[in-house]
Amino acid sequence: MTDHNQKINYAGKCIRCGLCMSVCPVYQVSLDESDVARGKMALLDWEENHTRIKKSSRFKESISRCLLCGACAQICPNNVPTNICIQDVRQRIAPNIKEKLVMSSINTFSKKTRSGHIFRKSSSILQKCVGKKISENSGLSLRFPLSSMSHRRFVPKIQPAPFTSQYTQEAKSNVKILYFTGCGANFVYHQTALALTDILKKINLTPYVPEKQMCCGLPFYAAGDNHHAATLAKKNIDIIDEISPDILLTTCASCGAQIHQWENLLKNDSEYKGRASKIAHLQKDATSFLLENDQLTKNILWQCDTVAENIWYHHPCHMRWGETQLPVPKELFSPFERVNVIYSDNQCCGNGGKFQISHFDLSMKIFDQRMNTFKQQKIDRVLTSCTGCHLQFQEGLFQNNMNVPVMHPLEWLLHVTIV
Amino acid sequence: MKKQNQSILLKKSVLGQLKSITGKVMTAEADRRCYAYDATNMEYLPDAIIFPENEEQVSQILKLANDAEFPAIPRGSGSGLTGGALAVKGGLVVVMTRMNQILNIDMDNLVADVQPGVVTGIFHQRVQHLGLMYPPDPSSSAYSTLGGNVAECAGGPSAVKYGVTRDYVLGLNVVIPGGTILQTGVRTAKGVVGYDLTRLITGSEGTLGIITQITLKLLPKPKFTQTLTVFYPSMHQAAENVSEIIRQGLIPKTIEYLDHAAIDCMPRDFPGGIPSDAKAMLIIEIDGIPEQIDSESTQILELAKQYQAISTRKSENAAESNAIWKARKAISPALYKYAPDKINEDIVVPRSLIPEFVDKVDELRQATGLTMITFGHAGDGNIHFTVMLDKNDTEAKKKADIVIESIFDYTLSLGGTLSGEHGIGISKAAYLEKEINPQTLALMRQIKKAFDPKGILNPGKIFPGENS
Repeated sequence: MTDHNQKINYAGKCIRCGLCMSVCPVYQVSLDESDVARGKMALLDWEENHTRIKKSSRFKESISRCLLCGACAQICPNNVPTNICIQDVRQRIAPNIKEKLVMSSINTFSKKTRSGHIFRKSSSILQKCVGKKISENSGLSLRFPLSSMSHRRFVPKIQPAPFTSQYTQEAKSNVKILYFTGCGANFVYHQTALALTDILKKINLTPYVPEKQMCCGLPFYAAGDNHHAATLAKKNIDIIDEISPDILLTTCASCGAQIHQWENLLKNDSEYKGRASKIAHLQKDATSFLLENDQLTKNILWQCDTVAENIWYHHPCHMRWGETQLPVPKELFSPFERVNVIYSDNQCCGNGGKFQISHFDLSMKIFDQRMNTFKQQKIDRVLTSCTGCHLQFQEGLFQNNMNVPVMHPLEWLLHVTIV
Repeated sequence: MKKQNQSILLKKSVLGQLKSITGKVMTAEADRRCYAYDATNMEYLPDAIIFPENEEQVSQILKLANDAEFPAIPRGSGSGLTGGALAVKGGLVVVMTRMNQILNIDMDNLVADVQPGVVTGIFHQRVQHLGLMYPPDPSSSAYSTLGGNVAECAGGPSAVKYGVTRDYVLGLNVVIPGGTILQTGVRTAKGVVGYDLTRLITGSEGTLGIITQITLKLLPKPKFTQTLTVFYPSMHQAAENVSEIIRQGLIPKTIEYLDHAAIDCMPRDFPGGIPSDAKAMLIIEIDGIPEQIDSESTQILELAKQYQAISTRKSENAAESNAIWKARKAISPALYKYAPDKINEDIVVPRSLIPEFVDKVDELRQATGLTMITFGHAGDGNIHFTVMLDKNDTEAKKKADIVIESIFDYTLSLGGTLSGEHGIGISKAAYLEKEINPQTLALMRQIKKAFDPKGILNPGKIFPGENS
């Protein structure tokens, strides 16, 4: 009850100044007040006094049309934690949002076209395979069966086995490093995980990569399923504490940010709350960690050279805002004179996890805002360090009929050190 | 503060006709809630919302509104501070944000044609990219629209040198109630043919017509800008210094001033630091060519010494200037640390009388014990006078109302005006008669009638006694 009251106060603190309009990726393509934070706060204010509003389809629609990118909360002059307010109301109306998500997938699935038939068939086969390969507890399980249902969508290649099951720790290093792969590197982007472990090897570090590690829980948290997100957090905390690392590395910005939410999720759990807080302090973005290592930067990396190329760098929202704020890693590229990096992409990619599935067209519109600049630049590759952004760029470029590779900065770094 | 208005003014048949104009009319309660407010944080529920995409649609909407006699309320981003975009009598909110094209930038004649929904900040970026400048810069420019800026005659910090929105509006396309499309003004530097309707409509707060196209004047962008910061032992000395700068014939781009309470709201990492005994501060910006900037900044810093400045600083680079402006813009929101509610007035006094005004504020502060903050555009005499209070504290609220009334009276006695850039709307309508005499006000009402005989366009605004 107290939590509920707290939420209302937050929404009530919004003074409707409108500053959030200047940063909201959804508002900037839709120009609809119900999409921007102050509109949503007005709706939450109203909901306080009119419970029937929860049944209103426009209300549910408005609450679902948020990327949780956090830009509005960051810029808010009155410090209204708008993203937390949205997550909170999603939690209260979670079944409805889920229902909508299932409906949207069924709609795609049941299109009565010939191609629809073929894809229904093939996707069910695919879904069976995927279902086996990706744990049901992974946030990715929410995404892939759905994305593979339509022939118009990009389908990432699922690895035959999780990275964690293939990895063996060859030697133990002085610093106890735990690598929290996240579902992206574990099930799809093995090359990211390999890049990190290979680069660490160059400086004689071998991380622990616990096979039983779970999804960070963000996709469930974002959908308002706090219960499941908290369960995953606890399982992860047990696994991490078993190793008791000195440092916890992440290669996905979203996992990194979610680890900082665990304490909040478990705030009523006296046993886990403190442990979650300790783990949050251990979390570090892998790229930042490597850039702080003199042995690596001076002796190995900066001795390398690479071909001239144009790189499009996308900074994930989960690094720009919130507890895990990190600057754009310009020092990663500065030694390479022939590499031209375009940093101007300072807008959300439009993925927002399930947002991309439930609001595909809107998500692509947000993505496409950068395409004019992108197309003028002759980009050789896209670098980004978040599974959601990675998927979104692959999807967005696929939709734009552009064949440009997307990868994690560490994958590029490894490639440079090999050249 | 929040008023409910459940009256359904729009019949089903009217909604059908509106839908046939633009293809979509919003009537769901959730949508109406999202267009019930503006930056005043007051709420008036409209009956429907429509998003015209061209002038012809606006014309059809205002023809229908006139025929069926329902209120039509033009709205840009809803960032106004006096309620100009609120549906105080219900009706149809006409949202102009989808008419957001920059139609033309004429580099040879320094003129631009824009639609009203263009966001001011986006326009700033576009013209700056071309080496040009559009000076009006309200603090909401990152999200406010040019149409809204013209309707309210928005200002900003550089008015001391570059004027306000009306100084850059050359011509307008305006749809008036009944659907007639007017074209006012010129595309040239001069023009005296007929009455100056452009100037009449600029600042008319959406009560005379809906702006559908704007011809704006542009300037070449000055090559360099220098930011100076000066701290003073008292507000009075800072204010005297501003007057002296102007008396000396120096016209900086900007002279912002901050009182003690405002300085306390700035971040601690302010470039050059903040002296502990600083009671007032000026931020002065000079633009032009390097030689002129050098000589003017030397002159200004010399003057500052004569007014017992505690410390002076020339910013060393653009990053430092940006940090200064970021700190300045952070003040307004940070004021909430004093109290949960804010009353903000934007009075203007003749520049030379700022010291008198500052003394008056001190006197009222001591008499009432209220938290009062003054900061703003000292260069043009536009002072953001703010009272921070808890509105649930009826005693404080009563005192604040009296303070505002006496501030207004004092401002007028100095030859000032009640609003420099926020407008009248509904927030200040009750005070209009203090400044405008009955004969003038009567003529204004006749002008409103000439444009809008049935009173359907943005009713209840500006004129006192109409918002019941």
